[in-house]
Amino acid sequence: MKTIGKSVIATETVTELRALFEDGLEAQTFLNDLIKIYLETGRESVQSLSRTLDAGDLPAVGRHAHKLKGLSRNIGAQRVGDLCADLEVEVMDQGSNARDLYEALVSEFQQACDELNQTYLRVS
Amino acid sequence: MTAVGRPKSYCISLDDDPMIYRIIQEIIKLPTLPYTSGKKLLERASSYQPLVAFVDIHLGEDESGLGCLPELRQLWPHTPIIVMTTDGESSLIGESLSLGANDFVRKPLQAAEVRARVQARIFELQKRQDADCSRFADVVLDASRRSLEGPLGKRFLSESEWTLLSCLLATNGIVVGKQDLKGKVWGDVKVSDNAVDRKLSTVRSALKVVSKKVRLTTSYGQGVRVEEKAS
Repeated sequence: MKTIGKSVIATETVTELRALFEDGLEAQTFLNDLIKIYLETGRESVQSLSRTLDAGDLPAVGRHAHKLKGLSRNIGAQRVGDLCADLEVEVMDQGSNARDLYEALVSEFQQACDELNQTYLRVS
Repeated sequence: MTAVGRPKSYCISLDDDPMIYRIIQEIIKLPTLPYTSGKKLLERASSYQPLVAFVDIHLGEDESGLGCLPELRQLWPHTPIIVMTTDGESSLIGESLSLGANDFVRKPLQAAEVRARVQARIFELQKRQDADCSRFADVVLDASRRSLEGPLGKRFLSESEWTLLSCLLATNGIVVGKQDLKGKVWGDVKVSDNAVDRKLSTVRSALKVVSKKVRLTTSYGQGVRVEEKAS
């Protein structure tokens, strides 16, 4: 379920990434690059999660969740990262809740992508 | 990047996360070469001497960053290797340190923490390198790598060759007899005169390759010594 009006990207993470540069334009270019990587690679990871869940390959689900967790935390998509962490743990057990976690993750990921596109990505 | 085009100081990152090397590069302001495969990095690692390296514990499907650590440590004895980890991997931190990592940082990377750890480890390993290195005339000797480096080039020695050269250097140019050398280098192990001569020949050749000034000379009937030739 979408949470309307609530930010899903941690602004402090974005601020820290921007703070690596003195020049605002360089900072935005850098941020744009990371966002584009997240949008592309994150989407690939979500697709891989779906595929491996359908196949019942729990170790592979864990690996893809781990990867998406790292990507998400880099860019401030904390809730996506947390759901990935939960999914990693879930598939190390029997994985009975894996599908529900995946569905929640997909929703959060989409919200994160929307916010990154609308609020943080600046294409000149 | 080829050795010709390589910057003087650079970092290497081993992580399948395509964002990480970019973030590291901007945190420490060093060109950072990205690797996503431990296998590929190990194939080329001997051609690198990075100022610092970051290794992720979890790589792709069949790889672990931990598996690369022993070999990287051997190839890069003076390079701080910093392991990157996420929550829940604390048990692997101890293992990574025992395998040769120097420090760890948690993801997501915090700029201040990364910089502080990199600076501290570089300083520490630089001190260790200074202790491992000595100089004789224009030849720098690195005990950790068993290497000689001079104006003309660089050579590596085997363990026994290194010990043999170290014994000769320790005598400050005084001639050392062959029997003495046998005892110092091989202890109680019986070695033939031919074997000793072969090792001396290798050391002699290595010195010739790296320097015009340093020579291993033989005094007939007495022994050998290392001396600095007058220019």
